[in-house]
Order: sequence, then structure tokens, then C-alpha cells
Amino acid sequence: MLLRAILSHYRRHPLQLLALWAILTLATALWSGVWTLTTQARDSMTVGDRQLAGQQLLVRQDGAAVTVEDFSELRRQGLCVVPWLEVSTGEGGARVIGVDPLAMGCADSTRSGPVPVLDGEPFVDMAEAARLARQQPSVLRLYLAQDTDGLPGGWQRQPDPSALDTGELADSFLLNLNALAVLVVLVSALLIRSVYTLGLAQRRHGLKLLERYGVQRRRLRRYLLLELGALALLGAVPGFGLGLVLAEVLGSGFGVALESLFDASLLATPRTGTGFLVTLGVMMLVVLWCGLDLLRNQENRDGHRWQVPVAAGCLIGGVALVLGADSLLAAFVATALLLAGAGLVTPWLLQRLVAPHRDAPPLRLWRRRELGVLVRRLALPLVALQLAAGTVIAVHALVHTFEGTFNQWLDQRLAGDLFIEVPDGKAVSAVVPVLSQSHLVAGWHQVLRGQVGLSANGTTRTLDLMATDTRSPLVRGWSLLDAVNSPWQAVSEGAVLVNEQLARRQGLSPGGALAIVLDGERRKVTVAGIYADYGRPAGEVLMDMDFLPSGYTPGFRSLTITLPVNNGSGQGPLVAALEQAWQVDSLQVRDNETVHRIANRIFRQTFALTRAISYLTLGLAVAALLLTGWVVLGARQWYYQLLTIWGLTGRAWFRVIFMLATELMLVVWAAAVPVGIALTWVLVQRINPLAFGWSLPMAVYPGFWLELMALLVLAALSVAGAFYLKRPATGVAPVLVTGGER
Amino acid sequence: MTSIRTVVLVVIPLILASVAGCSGEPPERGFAGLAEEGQDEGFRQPAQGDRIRLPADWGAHPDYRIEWWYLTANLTTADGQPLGLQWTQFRQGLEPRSPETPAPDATLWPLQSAWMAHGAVSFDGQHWFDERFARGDIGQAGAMAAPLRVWLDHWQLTESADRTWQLSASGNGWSYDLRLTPGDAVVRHGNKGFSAKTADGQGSMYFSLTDIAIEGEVVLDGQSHSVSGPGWLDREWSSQFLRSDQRGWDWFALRLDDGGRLMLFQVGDGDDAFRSGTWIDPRGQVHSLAPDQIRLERTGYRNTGRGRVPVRWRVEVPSRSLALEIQAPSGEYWNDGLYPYWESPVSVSGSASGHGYMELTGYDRN
Repeated sequence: MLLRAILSHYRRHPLQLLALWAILTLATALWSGVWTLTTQARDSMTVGDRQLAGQQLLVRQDGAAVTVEDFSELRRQGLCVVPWLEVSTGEGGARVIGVDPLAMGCADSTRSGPVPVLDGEPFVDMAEAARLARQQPSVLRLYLAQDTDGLPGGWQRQPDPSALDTGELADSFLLNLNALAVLVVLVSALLIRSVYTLGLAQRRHGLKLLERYGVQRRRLRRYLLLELGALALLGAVPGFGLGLVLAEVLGSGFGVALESLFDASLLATPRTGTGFLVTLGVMMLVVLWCGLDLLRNQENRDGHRWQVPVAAGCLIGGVALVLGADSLLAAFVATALLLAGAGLVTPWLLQRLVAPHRDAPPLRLWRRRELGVLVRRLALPLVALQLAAGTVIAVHALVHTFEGTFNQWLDQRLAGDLFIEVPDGKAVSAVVPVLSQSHLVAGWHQVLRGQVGLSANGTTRTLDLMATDTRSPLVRGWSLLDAVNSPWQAVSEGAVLVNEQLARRQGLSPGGALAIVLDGERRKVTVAGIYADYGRPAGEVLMDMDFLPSGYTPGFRSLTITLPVNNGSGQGPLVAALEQAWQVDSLQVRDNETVHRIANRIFRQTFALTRAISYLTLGLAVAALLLTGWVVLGARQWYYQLLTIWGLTGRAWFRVIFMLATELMLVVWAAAVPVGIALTWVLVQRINPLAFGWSLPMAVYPGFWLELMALLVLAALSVAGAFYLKRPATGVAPVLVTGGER
Repeated sequence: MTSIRTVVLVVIPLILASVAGCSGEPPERGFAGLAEEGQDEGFRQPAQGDRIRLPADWGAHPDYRIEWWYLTANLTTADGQPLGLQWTQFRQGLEPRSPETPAPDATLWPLQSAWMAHGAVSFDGQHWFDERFARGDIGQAGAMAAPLRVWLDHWQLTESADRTWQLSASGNGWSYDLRLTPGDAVVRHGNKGFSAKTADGQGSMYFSLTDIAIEGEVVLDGQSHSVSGPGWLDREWSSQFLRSDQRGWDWFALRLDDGGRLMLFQVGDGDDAFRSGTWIDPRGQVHSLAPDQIRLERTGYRNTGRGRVPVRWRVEVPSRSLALEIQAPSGEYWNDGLYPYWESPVSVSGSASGHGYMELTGYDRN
């Protein structure tokens, strides 16, 4: 009986029940989707790391191309090598990769772990790839799939030149996503609480009535908590299912991003059991927060005086922490404090912002007063929308800034048309006659990559070394983040440049000194400048190759070549001439345009996911605001209806309601923009350097703010329009019609 | 660049597709059923009247669908403990090729045949097993008749100049390096080498070396054991072993203390089971056993991690006055590979004592 009486509220307001359920479901879907993705990715990386510990390329010491006979011979000697035949199929840099599934049985851990379905390109059987390789350029590589102590004579290991040491970078990437998931939980918790407390406010009279009939308050609260728990469960179950669907939809793009950026694949099966328990746990916490009002004394309505001091505390603490943060976790905590502070102070600020001027025209005065009421009643969903919109602004700025900066950086890094790997055991001097033929080559320089030791605090750490001819115009075009006067001159006289990652880690600045160890030889060198080096976790030192010790053995050598402008015949004749001069069957050639395209695609995919999640959060917040707005406006319909009794025509009435809704949205938008700007700064200047080692220039995109504003106005228009269509006929006493709020 | 790790994780479906004929699931009947998938498709079928030609038949038969070189050995360690050992190499033809046609160009990575090798050691109630795969015709795996050489990676059986054979293989936690001295002449099973597998005349070509003296070294979990003892090598090829309505395959190779040797097998189960065998008496005379001369009965079972396995059998060959009890030692002897099957040493008691090997397929419940 009591239960029926309590639940009768939802019979009278089915839309509210639907709204609450929808928000619970959607919010669960969003955060469980992101959670599933990140755990899946982490599991995949763990599996991949375990399987590929010691993964290396095996190459001949004489630099000759490897053959099928080499493969069989190495296998007969007991080495677990697996073949990899890469064939360029010509169309837009496309390629197929031939693998021999039968040969892979010796690789570790193949019998257990996830087994995805192999569904065609780029992986095909060796036989098919070999058939294609008859007409198309191809390269056969042999990977050492299981570590071994010794190698047969004539063979040497070579780290896969295309692989990066990405563990730390991938971790940061996932931590970023987890932080995003936390933000999603925060925003949706605000939304759920707002929708629920709104309903509770409406039910207060009914509940009071029940108390007067003798129902104990404690019993009433227990029933309400029970109802909330049941609702949470009803939302969490389908929400979790939806989350899995969402994870799958996002997963394909995410998998590609993960694979291309971090050399790891999204292959692990989601851990649905744990996932569901985590989802349920988070949901229960959120619901408990919603139910806190029930457990407290109800009449504590103006307990918001503490809000402003707490907000100020959060903001001050957040700013202090964000400026001093030296770990990613601290930066995230600081960000959370800043967002919490912003969320707490916003309702107070908005109240002051919308305070009416006494001398305003009556209708505007009415609107302002009503706006004040709405801002107070919708405080929580407004803050949720503010945070969501702020995040979208920040993520958009981050992505755009990165794309612009990255393109510019790629252009300077990829000066020259071709990269050609110098085969092992071959001398560059052997091809100098070819490179000096002006009809084939307009300019070239050599790049050596190897290792250099960094002495600091009594220990020596290994860093990447890049050595080149720093007099080459192809290098001198680089723009540096920070440098001494005439940095290239200094480098050609023995100074070095360091990448941003190393400079940040070691606190280096131009003019400073660096103690390095090259081939056992200790040196003290001057840092002439700092260059941007996106997408790599490793520290790097750049020096002129003339200053390398004479016996230094680089790990990898390549030539960067510019082709003549009027070169109609392309790279073919040059590559053929180089192959002939070095007496090798094939060369590793990469053209600039392909690298450019691939690099861009990789980063676009990486950020597509971040963007998708933030837009989904915004969508959820807009939907929640529309729903709650609809309920609040509906509850105050009798009051708005009075406007028509005062003589407003239908159209004028619509205009007033539309203006009211629009002003509400504009207020949110105005509150979101500073949050967005602050968050952008935190992302590019603080979180990015801590996560990836490089920062981005701060940039704002007002054009996008306007787009966001247009979206919010559109939402206002739709709620006003729906409200207009739903309005009762004029002249009927609205209170009697709707039983609305007084 | 896409990582090799992707590939490490995608191999198993392809192995299944290439070895099991694209079925995606290992056939229930174990490797004896390999030949059943896809039926003939141009592969040659053995028939009554076909003969064994040596030494050529030690080599591969690209015109047949399936064949194997199958060694089992009941060895003893220096301190007298029994140690069972297996080495097997299988070839499965995916496209038939006549023996006269030259092998395809290795640089094309042809896939006309797939090879599989199994190595196992049973000792002190424990069982070690590993398997390897390779494609044929690229040099990674193969078989040559004279001098004998059968290899897959570094698992190799090679004939030396002194006519002895060297066998070495290693896996996870085990390795062996053995010297094999083949004994008496080869035993041709069935009708001069044609061994029927069904009542309506389908079968395989089958011969064995039933008395090989083996000595060498076995390393188990880092501990080295000097071993010696007799081994039994089967050589068999066909294009079809099991009819589609036949389930399972029970095979025994027994060496009795009085010098007699008995090979018998049962294909299928119940009333439809087809039995056959060969009795080599202590003087070395070979006698084929017809289905109605053999009685085979399961007399004891063991519940194992992969299903209920008949580990105790009663074998009777009344015409030769043989009534034998066969018993597997305690432990589980699953060769847990792509096609799981049971392979264990056995002891023989009853009208004669001895030891031998037992292979059971079709009992895997997973």
C-alpha cells in the first residue's frame, strides 16, 4: 500500500521516470563503455608485451637481403624465426603482409591468450604475398620470435626500426582515457542527482502527506532508498550492455589508433564479469550520493553557504597544484579540483549574473526573475552541461592545435623526398658517385642513429643519438623551440641540440652543459637549442656527424634525398643505381608523402576517440538538461500560462519562452567558455608535457565556441517549440488543468 | 608499421584452416581423420596389390594425402627406471603432386603440404609434449629416403655413414638426443604392406621396424638421464584412414619378453569396429592377423582432465595362444596439441609379459 502510494508519483509523471531511467542507462553506457575499452587495451598491451619480449629483427651481417633458404636454414638450426613478407600493392601506400601461420607455432604463448579471427588483408598467407611480390616491390624480413642466447655466424640482431619503446607512452595514453572516463562519471553523476532531486522536490508534498497519515519518516526513507536502488539496477543492466556495444563501436577505431601509435593491438576480450561489477559499484556510489539528501534532514535547504568558500578553496588548491604538478596523477587531481571549484562557484556566480535591474522593461524583468529561478532549480544539470561543454572546447582546441603544430613539424622533419636505409655492412662512400649526379639527386645528407650515454648524478643512462651533416639546408630549416644565437653554427662547431622530452626531463636550457658518453669517451657539450619531437617518449641528442668518435658504430644509417624538381622519372632510376652501387637486391625506401600521410592518419585516429567521448558526454548533458528543463518548465507551466492571461499572444508567448530557454543556454555557454580555456591550458601546457614529454602552443578557437553556442540555442529552440505545442488552450485555469507547482 | 605481435595472435585459425582443411575446428577423430576432410581430390588411394618399395618408401609420397614416421620407445634410465619416448612426423598433402613432378619454387612459399611433428617423453608419472608445424617444399621440413633424413626445424632424424640414425628434438622442459641402430628386416603389415582399415577394402600402406636399439640422453627439467632400450618405428601412408561413420583409433605395439612382437589396432567402435594386427613370433616370422582372430576388450578406465580413458585392456589372439593384460602406468598421457590424443607406454602381463606403447584417439571430451 505504502509502496503504491510512493510510486504513484511516477504514475502521474511517467516522463520523469523515463528521464531518470534514460539518464541512468545512458550514463552507465558511457562510462562502462570507456572503462571496457581502457581495460581491454591494457590487457591487450600486457599480452602483447609478454609475447613480444625480445622481439627483434634478424639481419645478415653482409647486408644482403634475406631469402626463404635463410629462413629454413635458421629454423633447422633451432632458431624460432618467423617470416614477414611486406608487399606494396601500389594504391595509396597500401600493402599486404605475408605471414606463415605454420611457422609461428614456436613463438611463445601462442597456444593461450586471445585468438582473433584473421579476416584477410593486410595479413595473407606467404604464398599469396609471394605471388604478389613477383610484380610489386616487396621486402622479406625475419623476426626472432623467441629470444635465444647465441646467433649463427653471419647473423645479427637489429631492433625493429619501425618499433618504438612505447610502454610509458601507451600508459599515458590510457591514463588520459581513464581521466576522461572519470570526467564522464562526474558529469553523469551530476546529471543523475539533478534529475533525481528534481523529482524528490516535486514529491515532497506527497511524502509529507504520508507522514501526516502516520507513516514513520525512517520507513519512508528506507522505501525511497529501495526505489532508488531498484532504479539504479534497472538502469545499470541495459546501460552496461549498451556500454559494451559502444566499446565495440569505438573499439575498431581505437584499435587502429592503438596499433598504429603504440604497436599494440586491441585484441583482448573484454572482462565482462569484472566490468559489470565495477559499473554496478560506481552506479551504487552515484546513487548513494543522490540519496544523501534522504538520509539528511530535509529542511537543510540553504546549506549552500559553504559552497563559495569551498569553491574558492578548490580553485586555489587546484591552481597551486596544477602549477607545481610533477606527475600525471597530480595534474589530474589538480584538474579535478579546478573542475569541482568551477562547478561549485558557477551557480553562485550565475545568480549574480542574472539578477534583474529594477528599471528594466516589465517583460524583461519577469524573464530575468524567472531565469534566476531556473538557474537555482537547474543548478546541477547546468553545471554538468557547463563541464561537458568546457571539456569539448578544450579537447577541440587540443586536437586542432596538435594537428596544426604536428603538420608544421612534419614538414620540417620530412624535408627531402626520400629516405633510404643504408644496408648493413655497406659504405655510404660507395654511392657518393651516384648521389652526385645532378639529374638524379638535387641534394642529400646522411643521418646516423645510435645510442649515447647521459651522465647525471653519478649514473649513465642511454639516450637516442641522431647525427647528421648539420650544414645541410634540409636540417637548417628546422624551427627550434628555444635556442642560443646562431644555434646551427654552434652545432657545426661541436654543440648539440636536444629534444623537448630530454630538455624537460633534465631541466636543460640553451647555453647549458650536458655530460655525454660516446663509445666510452666522456664529453661535456653545450646545449645549443631544443627542438620539438612529437610522438616519441625517448630523449634524443642531435649532433654533427663530424664530431662522432672515429670508431663509432651507428645502429641505423639512412640517406635523406631531395629529387630534382623536373624529375619526370621518379625515384626508380635512382634506387636502381644505388642498388647497383651497393650490390644489393633491394633497398628500404620510404617516400616523404607516404610517411606524412601515415603519420597524419595515426594521430587523427588517436584523437578521434577522445573527441567521440567528449561529444557523447556533451550529448548526454544536453539531453539531460532538455529533460530536466522540460520537467521544470512543465511544473511552472501555470505560471507561464499567466502571461497569456495578461494578454500575450501565442507567438509573443513562444518568443518569451524561447528567449528564456536561450538565455539559460547562453548563461551555461558563457560559464563553459572560461572552463574550456582553462582546461585547454592545463591540457597543452601541463598534462601533455607530463604524459608525452612535449607541450603544444596555447591556442583558442572562438569559431568553435560560436558553433557550440548555436548547438545550445538549437536545443533551447527545440524545448521551447515542444513546450509551445504542448501548451493548454488559453482561458482555462492552469492550476486546475495540470495540478502544477505553486 | 603493424606489429608482428598481431600476427603472433592470429596464427591459430590459419593453422586450423591449413591443416584441417578450412574446417576451423580440429576433427574429432584426431590426426587419423586428417585424410578424411575433403575426400580424394586427386590423391592416390592405396589398394590391394600395392607393394612397398624400399628404400624409396622411406621418403615422402606427395601423391598421397597423409603419411607419418612414428617412433615409440620403451627405454630405461641408468638407474633402471622406465622412460617412454615418442617422435612422430606427419605430412598432410593439401594439393596432390605426382612423384615425378619437381617440387614448386621455394621462393613462392608454396603451400602444397603441411608438416607436423610431435615429440613426447613419459617418465615417473609425468608427460612432456610439444608439437611443431611447417609448410612443405621450402626446406623447413621434409623427408628423404636414402640416406634417410626426416626433419622439421631442428627436430631431425638423420642417417649416418655407419647406417645408424641420429634423432634429436626438444621442447618445453624436455629434449632428447639419441642414437638408433635398426635391427632386423622391416615388417610389412597386412597383405605385403597393404593394411586394410575397413571391411570393404580401404586401407593404407604400412611397414615397421619393430626392433631398434636405442641409446642416448634425455634431459627433463634440466636433469639429464642416460637411456637405452628398444624402439619401434612405423611408416604409414594413405589418402583415407577413417570412414566418416568410424570413430576413434586404438593402436598397440607390444614387445614380449620372449622376443614375440604384436601390433594390433582397432578402428571405430562397437560392432562396426574393424580390427587387424601382425604377430611376429620369437623366431621373426611375420603372421598377419585377420579381424576375427583378435579379441580386444576395455577392462579398466581412468578419469582424466580431458575425459575417461580406457587404460586397461584385454587382448586375446587364440590362434597364437596369447591372452594379455595391458596396463598404462599411473598419470595422464595426453598429447595436448592441435589434435589431442592419448599416447602412453604400457606394461604387458598375462600369458606373456613385456611392454609396449598404446595410442588412443577419439576419447578427448573437450
